[in-house]
Order: sequence, then structure tokens, then C-alpha cells
Amino acid sequence: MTKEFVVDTLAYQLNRQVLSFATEEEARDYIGQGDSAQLFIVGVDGTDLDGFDLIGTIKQSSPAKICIAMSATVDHEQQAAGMSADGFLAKPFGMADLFELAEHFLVERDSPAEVEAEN
Amino acid sequence: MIRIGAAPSEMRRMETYDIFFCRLQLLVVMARGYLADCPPGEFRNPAILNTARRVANDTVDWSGRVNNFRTESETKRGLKLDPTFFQKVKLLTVIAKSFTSSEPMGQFRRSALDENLESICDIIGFTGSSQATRILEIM
Repeated sequence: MTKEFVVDTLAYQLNRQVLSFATEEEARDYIGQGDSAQLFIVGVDGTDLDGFDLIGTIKQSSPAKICIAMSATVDHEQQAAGMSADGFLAKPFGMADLFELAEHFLVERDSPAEVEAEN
Repeated sequence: MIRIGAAPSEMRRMETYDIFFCRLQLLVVMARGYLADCPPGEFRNPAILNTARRVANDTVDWSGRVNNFRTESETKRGLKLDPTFFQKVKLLTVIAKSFTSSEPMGQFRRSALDENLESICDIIGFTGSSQATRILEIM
């Protein structure tokens, strides 16, 4: 539910393709195929995936990719910082927060690219 | 690392009503954007249709238990909602689905949309004007 809202908000705001993945495995497959995404929003409080591990993988292979950790848990903010995440999206958030996030990281950049929302 | 969203003391899972109001705000911005002649786009149109569909579905659900919803929203957000609010939201979703069509809306429909938007915005305390302006600037 939250993921779909994030996807629709960013797709409308940026008029760019926004992909979503149900599982960490799907996201890893996509990344493994040589993705062109600029920004990843990774849910880190899911029960069936390790979002922090995914952020670590992305940052290790492509440090320039922007990774945002999304969580409803206070303690995850420190963990996200430890994984070199670029941002922390604390739940509950609103449309204006997503606008702010996209404007901060994407709007001032010129090259078109995809955005991903994972979980 | 930047931090966006809820303050640490207010962090919690996002509930159905959180998403409903977020989507409704997004729909308001989409409508404002339409009225301001924000150009549609390949990726915008599906977002508009999906948002309108989800808000319409949620509104149907809420209508069946409007009293519960009203009690909860008054407690949590200080909103005074009544069944006409949901009818107005439903109307907005129907009109929003036409945004992706290339058919012109016409002066009177645009005027009706604007009035409906004003009414909804008064209730939810959100205008969407600044966000719509920012969308236009992004274009």
C-alpha cells in the first residue's frame, strides 16, 4: 500500500519511470542486469527481506547511486547511516515529504533516469 | 544523510487512513496541475489513473463505516467529515480519470472541478496549490 503510493507520487512528480519490487531477490535481479536507476527507496522494516543488506550491496557496487532507507522504526535511522544510506524516510510520511525527497536528490539533475521503490 | 518524514517520537506504521489522505492530497495536486494545464506524460497518466482508482476504492470502503471513520479522524486529525465529503471525493476521482483523455473538459466542467476541489480542500485543510506550482516548475 505504501509502496504503491510512493510509486504513483514520484511517477507523477517527475514524469519518470518508477519501478517497484516485491522482494529483495527481484531487486537484486534487476540490479544485476545493469540497471540505470538513480535512486533506490528501500523498505528496511519488512519481515521477509533484509533492506539494509540490499543498501549495502548497492552502495558497494555503485557508491554514486542514491539509497534511501524507509522505516517506521526509530533505531533504523542509525543503522541506515551506518550503511552509508543517503537519506532516511521516516514513516508516516506524506506526499510533501516525497516531493521534498525527489527535489533534493533528483530534480536538479538533468539526465533522465529511473527511480525505484522497493518495499 | 538527510532525514525526511515523521519526527522520531511520532514514528509508526502507516495505516489505511494515512494512505487515504496522502493519496487524496496527491489527487488534489493532480487536479490542480490539470487545471493549470500541466502537461500529461507517459508516466504521469498511469499514476493519475491508479491514484483515482485507489481513492475511489477506499472511499467506497469508508462509506460503509463512515461513523467509525469520522470518529477516528476527529480524534487523530481534527477533521469533521460527513457523507457529502465522500461523495465529493468520489466525484473528484471520476473527473480525475478523464485527465488522461485528450478530450477537452469544457469551461463548466472545469468550473465544477474547481468548486469541488475548493470544498474538499476546505475540509482537509490542504490546498495543493504550492505543490502543483512546483510540479509545473519541474516541467
